Amino acid sequence: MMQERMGTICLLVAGCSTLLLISVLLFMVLESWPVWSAVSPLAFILGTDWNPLAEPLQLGIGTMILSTLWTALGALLLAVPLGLCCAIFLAEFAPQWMANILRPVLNLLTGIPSVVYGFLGATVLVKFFEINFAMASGESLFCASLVLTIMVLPYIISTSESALRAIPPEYRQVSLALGVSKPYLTLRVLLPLAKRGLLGAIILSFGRAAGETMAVLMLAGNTMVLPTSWFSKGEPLPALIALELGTSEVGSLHYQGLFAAGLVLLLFVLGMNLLLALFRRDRRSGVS
Amino acid sequence: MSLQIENLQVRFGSSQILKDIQLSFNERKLYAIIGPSGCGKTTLLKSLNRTLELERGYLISGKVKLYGEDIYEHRDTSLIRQRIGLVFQTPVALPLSIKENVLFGVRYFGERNKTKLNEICEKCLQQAGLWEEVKDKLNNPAKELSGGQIQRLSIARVLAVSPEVLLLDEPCSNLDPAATQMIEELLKGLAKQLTIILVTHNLFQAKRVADVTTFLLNGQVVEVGETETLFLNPQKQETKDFISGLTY
Amino acid sequence: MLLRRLLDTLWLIAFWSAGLLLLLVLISILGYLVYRGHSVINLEFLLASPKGLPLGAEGGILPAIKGTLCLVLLAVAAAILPALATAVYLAEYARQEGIRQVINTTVQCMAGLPSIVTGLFCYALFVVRLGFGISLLAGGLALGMMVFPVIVVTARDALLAVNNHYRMVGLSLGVSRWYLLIRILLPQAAAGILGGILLAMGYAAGATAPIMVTAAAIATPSAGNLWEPVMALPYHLYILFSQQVSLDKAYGTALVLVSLLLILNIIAMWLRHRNGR
Repeated sequence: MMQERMGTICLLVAGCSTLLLISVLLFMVLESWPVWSAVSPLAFILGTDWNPLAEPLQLGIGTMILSTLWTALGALLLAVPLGLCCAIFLAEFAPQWMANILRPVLNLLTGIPSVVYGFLGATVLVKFFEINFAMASGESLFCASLVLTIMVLPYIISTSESALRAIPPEYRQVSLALGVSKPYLTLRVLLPLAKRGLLGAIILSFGRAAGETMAVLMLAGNTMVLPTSWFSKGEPLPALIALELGTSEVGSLHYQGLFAAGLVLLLFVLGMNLLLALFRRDRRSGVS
Repeated sequence: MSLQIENLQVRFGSSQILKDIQLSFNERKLYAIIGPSGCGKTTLLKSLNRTLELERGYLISGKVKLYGEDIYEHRDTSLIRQRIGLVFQTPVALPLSIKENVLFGVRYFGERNKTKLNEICEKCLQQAGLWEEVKDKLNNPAKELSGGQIQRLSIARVLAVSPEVLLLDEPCSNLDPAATQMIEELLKGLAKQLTIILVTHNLFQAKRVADVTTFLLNGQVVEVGETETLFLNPQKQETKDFISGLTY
Repeated sequence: MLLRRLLDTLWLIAFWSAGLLLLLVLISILGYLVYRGHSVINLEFLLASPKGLPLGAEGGILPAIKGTLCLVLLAVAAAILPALATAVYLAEYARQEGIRQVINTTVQCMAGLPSIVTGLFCYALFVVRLGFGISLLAGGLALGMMVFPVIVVTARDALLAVNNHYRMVGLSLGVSRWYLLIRILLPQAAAGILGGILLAMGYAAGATAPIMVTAAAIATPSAGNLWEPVMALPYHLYILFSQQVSLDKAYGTALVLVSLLLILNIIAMWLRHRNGR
């Protein structure tokens, strides 16, 4: 009977999604293959000169990786404390009506596309820096981090809030019965208990921040100079790919180099996600 | 003999829930299974129509024979569940109209004829003693009914696929006395046509309706007997203690 | 003790201000967009093609609206069946813990895939290898791949939220899982699944990076031809800004895009909320 086969069909389709993911990975390896024989992987990642059109050509994405790390880590530096405070507020302190306003707000913030964040950042933040700090052009990795902060906040908040909510209420009752204040309870008891979930939230948003394209493309300045500080300009990996893919000649080492850069980004983000999956599984088996 | 259990064992993880069950059930009789909570009554019932395997983690071994044929050897679980119907403890109205609730299984098993479907619907609702109450609102959502009505609707829903054995898992535990009495009357009537196995923690209920009563304790059958004999003159000390309400 | 009190108060202030800051951010983003963009928006802006020199400095954004609509519909059309099948498998059929975990992890990884990597993959596969060229079709498929995990996760959760009693009662009658799904579970989860699809549509409509490399054009005469490049709202916004065509028009475009997405998101939230009850 047809109906009994539907389960198998669904399984096959679901299996195809795994195949698709694997084929993305394989495809990136395949397309970038010549690069790895021209340049050693270590030289590719650590090299600081990217000049795919020069003779001899130079393929090193070290500057881009460094820019990516500056922007993503910078964004986390701002977003984690802020996000945790918001999550604690939502889970423990916010009155019902306030939570009912804030949760949709979080959804709507995720709903705003990155190009709009980038655009607003570029017209408002960058202008602000240009005017107030007398800079010739206000773009910087810091600007990109600021906008990324707002973009990853909703993820951090909703993941950490559910981690906090997953703590059994007995802990709260027991501690409050001892007479400690609620902020003390939250910081000393609840936060350590939710540690794993919070770490998961941070991993998730790190992957997001590192892979984000439009906002950094519009804000980071796009110069290929080794960024020495948070406030210098830079060109994170996704921006490099977005900017150069259209102009690279198909089949050239330039084109293949972009796929190699994409592969590095993909491996990094996949690594983050697998780490997170491992984390979640551990936690599930840890509780009963 | 309609249903025969041989060496039935059920494990969940490392704990053994049913140990070496041997029981047989005859046609047109009402059987009650009694025992303290946690003794494995519900597990036993669910393993009789292969719904236990829908829940994760159970290991089932042994034989359950329906007219000589082991249901666990049978490939078609669907047919087994149709022939052995199960009514759950919680009254559940599927999110459909009253009529479609009754016809839910019938339609799956291929009945398309409109008049036939209407006949089945009326017949089963009458058997379940619900017809008079709902005949004017068959197309209303079933969730509007009361708990007792929904439980009778559940029975009608199972009867509609014409099972040979009817299993009931504490069908009255969520109902008020009036609804309970209605269902008991209904079961006594149904027992004239098919095999009924009723799990209950209510000793009085077993005494009121059952022909044969089985006492289950810690996953083992302690005693089986004609209801009257079992209650008046139990052979085992455990049974005596349980029915006199001394322990458990 | 006094110090303790003081610290407590400070923390309380920190928690409250973090929450209020969030609200403030959203309000100021929306407020600023409305403030700068509302004067550009009129019927002509919505219903005319871009004109002027450089192109886009005058006129409207109709082809971009149409193009985004085509891309979104194509993306959902490409993703919906495989995504629903995967969700159904995860929620209803998966008996083996191992396979389920692999597929759940896959979906999570796909959701985490940077959009530019999706774009890169689809560029190499559809645009170059399969010879689609920069086209609506390539872009629609790229977006489809991007929204696939969104639909899977929302549909899976909507199905899992359906009362488990229905499954037990249905299956104990002997009906197949598929029949149960069609008659009971899908109708019950419909609102939540629809909400997820709207969410995915919003996600696709706002995505820029994947279509930038696979589908988008600065200007096209018509929208709707599968094999031609298309204009799209987010890409149009990017061009208006980065090529310094017109800041006013850029604000107008951003406002139109954000309003569209907010409406989609609000409907999606409402539907998914209904599903929970």
